[in-house]
Amino acid sequence: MSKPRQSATGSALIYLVAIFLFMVAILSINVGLNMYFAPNSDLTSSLVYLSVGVVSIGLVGMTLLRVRRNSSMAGIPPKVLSVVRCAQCSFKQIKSFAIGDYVFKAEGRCSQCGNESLFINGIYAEDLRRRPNMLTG
Amino acid sequence: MTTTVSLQGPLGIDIGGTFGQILQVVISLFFILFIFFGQKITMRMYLLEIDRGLKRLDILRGQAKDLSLKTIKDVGKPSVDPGPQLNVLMEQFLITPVDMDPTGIIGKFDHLLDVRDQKFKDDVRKIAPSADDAQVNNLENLVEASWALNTIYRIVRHFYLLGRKTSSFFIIIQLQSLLPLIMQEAEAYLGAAKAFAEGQPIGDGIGPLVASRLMKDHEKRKVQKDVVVAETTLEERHIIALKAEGPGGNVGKPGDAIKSLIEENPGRVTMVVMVDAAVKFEGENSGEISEGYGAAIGGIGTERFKIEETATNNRIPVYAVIVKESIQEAITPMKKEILEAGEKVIERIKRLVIERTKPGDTIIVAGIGNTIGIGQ
Repeated sequence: MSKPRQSATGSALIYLVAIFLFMVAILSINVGLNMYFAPNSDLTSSLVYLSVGVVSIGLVGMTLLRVRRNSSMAGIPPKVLSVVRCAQCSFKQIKSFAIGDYVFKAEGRCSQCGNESLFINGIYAEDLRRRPNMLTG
Repeated sequence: MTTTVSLQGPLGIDIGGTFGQILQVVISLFFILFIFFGQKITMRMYLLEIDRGLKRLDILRGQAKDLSLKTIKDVGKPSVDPGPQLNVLMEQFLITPVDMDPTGIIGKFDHLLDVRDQKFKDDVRKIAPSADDAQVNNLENLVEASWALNTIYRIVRHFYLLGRKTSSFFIIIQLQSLLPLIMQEAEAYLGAAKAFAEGQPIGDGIGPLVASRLMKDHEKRKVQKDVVVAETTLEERHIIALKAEGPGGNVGKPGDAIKSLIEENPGRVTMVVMVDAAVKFEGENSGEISEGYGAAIGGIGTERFKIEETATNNRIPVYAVIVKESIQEAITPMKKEILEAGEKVIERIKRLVIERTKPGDTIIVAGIGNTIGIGQ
């Protein structure tokens, strides 16, 4: 039980640090903009403040995206299906995999032609977390 | 006479005042700290990242071990708690033969792997007495996946603690660079453990699947260790198809089987075609098929050596037809595109047979890989 709690504490800490950095970034950008638009503006200092702010926001965004991606990728088991076919006719059925299923296992009588010729022709996993790939389609 | 200029920003903060000065000091300190302690800070960040990865690895190995225990109890119905014996199995190791004098090293490796496989199987049978042969093979694969996760965790923890103890930036940076690949592999091993626990075919099983399609409805016989053979015809050629005996998790010894089949048919075998899963490059599609030359078989190299030696001595060409997939796909439940590649592989074999042999020739087609969830 302690391991998931440790992981949850770690995530909470990351979010807290991210919120703190985000606040610092906003303040820094604010100071940078003030300096830039001030009557006797100091361009170098304002650019330093603005850079610190923008970089901090970028880092926060990247960290949060990574945490979200890791948590959304983990723990989605694939759905495994068995393809049942009849050796005598065109009957085909796709059902959820059951323990004990294997390729070429006899499955009994065909409901279409009535012969004892049903068998598992293939077993495959459906990827539930697949996303379109821009490079490979 | 002096005047104080107040610089009010959009958020109403006086940047010319105390806040601005504090922020300036903080930023200056930040830069100075980064100049002198930049590497230390980076190292701390890397260590934190490795620490997170290590915790995840610990969770993964715990899940795999729990799954192994549950499956052993469900399938094997042991009379005593299998936990302590499983812990012993998870810490097993193999000492490779001395390679200073490489003469005969293949035989030594082969013998060592035979001893290891037999001992592992016997130990699994002992802790799961009610399991049948196929279930023992599946349990053996499941315990091996748990063993792999346990070993990955121990190695990563070793280098993490070593890097921390010695403050070696180079140990830590190497570990941090490899961590994403290690995590991918570990997640895949957990997927493999789930597949082995339920007896589902994995991506590596495409070779046995193709061989079993050729063998269907033909008489089978057993040759060598855990390898089944069936004889059929394809485009007027005599085909001898072989694969590891399923549907339990098994790779058999195809090297010995091919050798004995060539010896059984002296001078008659004109071609050997090997079908296997192969690791794709990033950017390539899973389920793509490629043809090549040579013995398509993974592992430590003992089986490949036997096939190469027998083929060379008998002047028999060896062709390879491979189905591309990632390492993760090879050890997790078979994907649809890999399953569908099976029919295309048979078409490729037909074309190869027509192009490279004459009617009446004898050809060996070997389906290489783990045959879990695939009968014959």
